[in-house]
Amino acid sequence: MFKKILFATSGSPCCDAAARVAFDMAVRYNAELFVFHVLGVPSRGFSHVVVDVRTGEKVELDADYIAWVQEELKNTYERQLRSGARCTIEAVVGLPHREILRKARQEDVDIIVMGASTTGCEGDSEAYPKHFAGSTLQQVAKASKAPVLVVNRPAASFWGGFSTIVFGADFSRASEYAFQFALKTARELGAKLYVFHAVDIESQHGLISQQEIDDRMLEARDRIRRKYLLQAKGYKDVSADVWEGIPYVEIVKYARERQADLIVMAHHSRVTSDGALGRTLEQVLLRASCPVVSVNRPDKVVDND
Amino acid sequence: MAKKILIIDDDPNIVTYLEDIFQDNGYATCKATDGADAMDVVRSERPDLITLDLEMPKEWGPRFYRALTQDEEFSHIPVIVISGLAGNKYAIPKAVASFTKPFDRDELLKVVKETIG
Amino acid sequence: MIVAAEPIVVATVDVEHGQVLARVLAEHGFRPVHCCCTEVARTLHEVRPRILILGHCQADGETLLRQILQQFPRVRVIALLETRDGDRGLDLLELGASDVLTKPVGERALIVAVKRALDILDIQEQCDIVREKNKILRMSQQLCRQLFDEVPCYISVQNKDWRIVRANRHFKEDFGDCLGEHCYEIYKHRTHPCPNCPVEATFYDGMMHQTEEVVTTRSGQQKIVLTMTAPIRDEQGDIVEVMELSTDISQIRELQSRLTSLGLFIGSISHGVRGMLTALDGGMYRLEKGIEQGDMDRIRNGAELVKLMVARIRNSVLEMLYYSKDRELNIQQIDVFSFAESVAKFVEPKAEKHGVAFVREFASSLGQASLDPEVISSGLVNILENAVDACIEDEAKPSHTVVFAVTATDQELCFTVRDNGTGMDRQTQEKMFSLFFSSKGSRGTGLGLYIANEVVQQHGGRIEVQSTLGEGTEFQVLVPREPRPQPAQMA
Repeated sequence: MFKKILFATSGSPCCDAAARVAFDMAVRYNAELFVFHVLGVPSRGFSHVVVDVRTGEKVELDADYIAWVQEELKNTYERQLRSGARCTIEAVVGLPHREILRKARQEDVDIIVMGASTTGCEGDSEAYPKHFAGSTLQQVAKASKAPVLVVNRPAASFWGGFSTIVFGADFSRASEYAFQFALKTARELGAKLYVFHAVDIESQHGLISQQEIDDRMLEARDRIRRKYLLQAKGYKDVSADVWEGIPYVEIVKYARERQADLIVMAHHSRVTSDGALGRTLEQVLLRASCPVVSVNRPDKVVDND
Repeated sequence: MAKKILIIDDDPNIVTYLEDIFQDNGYATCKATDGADAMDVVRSERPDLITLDLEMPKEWGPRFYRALTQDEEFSHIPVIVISGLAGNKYAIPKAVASFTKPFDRDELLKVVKETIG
Repeated sequence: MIVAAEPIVVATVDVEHGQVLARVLAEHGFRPVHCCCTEVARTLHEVRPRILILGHCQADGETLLRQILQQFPRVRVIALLETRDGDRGLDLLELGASDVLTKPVGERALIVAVKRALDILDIQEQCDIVREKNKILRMSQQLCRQLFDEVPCYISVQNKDWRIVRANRHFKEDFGDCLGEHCYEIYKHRTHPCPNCPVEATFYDGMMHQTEEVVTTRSGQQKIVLTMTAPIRDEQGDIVEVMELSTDISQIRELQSRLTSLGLFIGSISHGVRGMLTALDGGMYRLEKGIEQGDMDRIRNGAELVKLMVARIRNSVLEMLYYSKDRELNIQQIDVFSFAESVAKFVEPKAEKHGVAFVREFASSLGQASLDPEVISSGLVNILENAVDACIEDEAKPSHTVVFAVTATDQELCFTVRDNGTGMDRQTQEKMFSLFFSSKGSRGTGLGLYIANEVVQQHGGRIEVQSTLGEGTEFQVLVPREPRPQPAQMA
């Protein structure tokens, strides 16, 4: 399941929670962990000055500086490194999302672990200081073949291992891959899987009648049964629920009630022109009290055997 | 009979401290040093209240809490979170209270008294 | 190889005579150009010969010769005289004629004169070349020297005995005129070559080597330098000397250490501190209750726990102090005597516990001062604890003493910490204020003295150290009575 994990970090406290999850996963599932830091963007061509992603200062780049950053990462994760994870630390220069995707492809990782955003991060004291996901995450989540696991709030990192998974269903194409991933994870880890859909009651003009809500919920249950549950075949620990409300609120609420330790969702339900994260997913991954996985492609999800 | 409090924390110094406080105030105590062993202690000791650390070497607090609440017999036991982690009050929203280390002793005793008398 | 025939201009009044001369010259392989005396200037312009045969043109031959030589200073002029005419020949030679021939001009005399002129021309040319070459050489030497001297690096050339054979101006400015001295003495005030010497490595394998060193200039300033070495070979290709090029990277390192303040470090430390503080509460509670109940075991136990936690917390707080960037000083008016007293009280128990005598030498009437008592005290405690540690480690002497002396002038406070412990070698002394340098291995963080130095500098003060290996160490912490803004360190 998780043989190779890529933990993409800015090395700042915002990645603290993601680090906890990444290192914990590596130890728990005996995975190989790549701690990967992109050192800022060349400011012009092949210049030797880079902008440090953390401070925004311009820094003269040389082998020494890279070595120093690597050393810094080692200091940063000193406590976690003692956990016994099989781990390599690497720092490179470039555009963060491009380098992260390249590394993920090159190592053929099973999952990418990231924080939601670095800029504007105020550390642990603020639960979720921003209401939108960072650009690096946006671009990685969009293009990555591997599922992207996001840990935003510190409280989302206190679980340790996945044994209760909520799958947020939206019936899209990508959602099928996301379900495959959720099911596969549940099977391999022996976890409970809850398939959940929230009927959006806000998208219509004015108030909608209770009968319409009821009808749409019935329809959703039926679609869940046909689209997902039938695929689950012999796996017993699957159940489904449909609630109504504002989808992201309902998913966060549902996960809390089920005490879920993982939420799986499709990258986005509709193709938006800019390829941004779906609004529901974005809000869920910022607000959830457990890690959230975004799945956009079938590559690492659908079984080849 | 004295009410019994289960202390779950991996730092022996802090366990000792909590034992001191509770015993001096007429409570019985028992302890577990990890979330993984804590359910067994709950079953054998049947505590009236639990203080729970979040970060522990094997199993963290939230997992223990989930296991606890999923067991009909014990799901009613009140839990007080005592942790050094920032943002800990969001970890177990249904806890009776969440204290951040270092905590106010009198505050803690007050909450314990209100909860189990 | 076909060499173009040497053009020779023949200028005569007597056309026939000129033609005869021209024929003779042509027979000998020259290219004669005959012209009339009046046209000599124009012809010379056209032909640009090196040799001119100038017939007796008019009475005032000297004037013409002078004019020609003025215009064409390099032309060799062979002048012809009608008769042996007293000193006229000599006059012409004096004016710069190459040769003087008297009519009738014999073929042999003419050719000898021409050949001689050619020889002189050759020699002249060679001289010119040599002169030109010398000029280029001088210029490039000058350029080399200039480069060598002006590069913003320390360059020195060392022989196999680690003696400095050459050094650039920059080097000499900061390290003194040191030719013939050992590099390790000049750079590091060592008595033996440094371990892992890059120069030695280059002598051995002929490759470039790179190290990072802390060096001390003759004014006592410490610099972190990146050192690269390259071999200098003789004509046989043997390495005779090694060039060492050191770049001052102190500022980069300083910047980096500032950047270090970012990251998860604070998070993990503060989390740890929370646990420690709680355990400290536990110890205090135990202590209080023990006193309340008269339970000696509880008291002892509580006190142990308090001591342990205080020590751990203090270390962590010191580390955080460093990591928190640009800490503002919290300047307070303090009574120097009671401040020193409180510092001493912090360290005294540790000294006593290990049988190290702790002596206070506080001058009377120390007066008041404005400083940040918290950070200065932690710096002093650090130095005092190091002194105690140095005594504990030292097994050579039967008894040990740490003296904590405080004196003051109107301007300055001077805290002296003197011990008769192990002492430090020069290298340790030089590196001890750098970040993450620790002589204590895993027991030290390498932060203590760095922080002490930082905070004292922040007050506009300084720390001076004298130490002899095996004899002991003396630290002097000089702090102004009123904090002075930190002097700019940028070069």
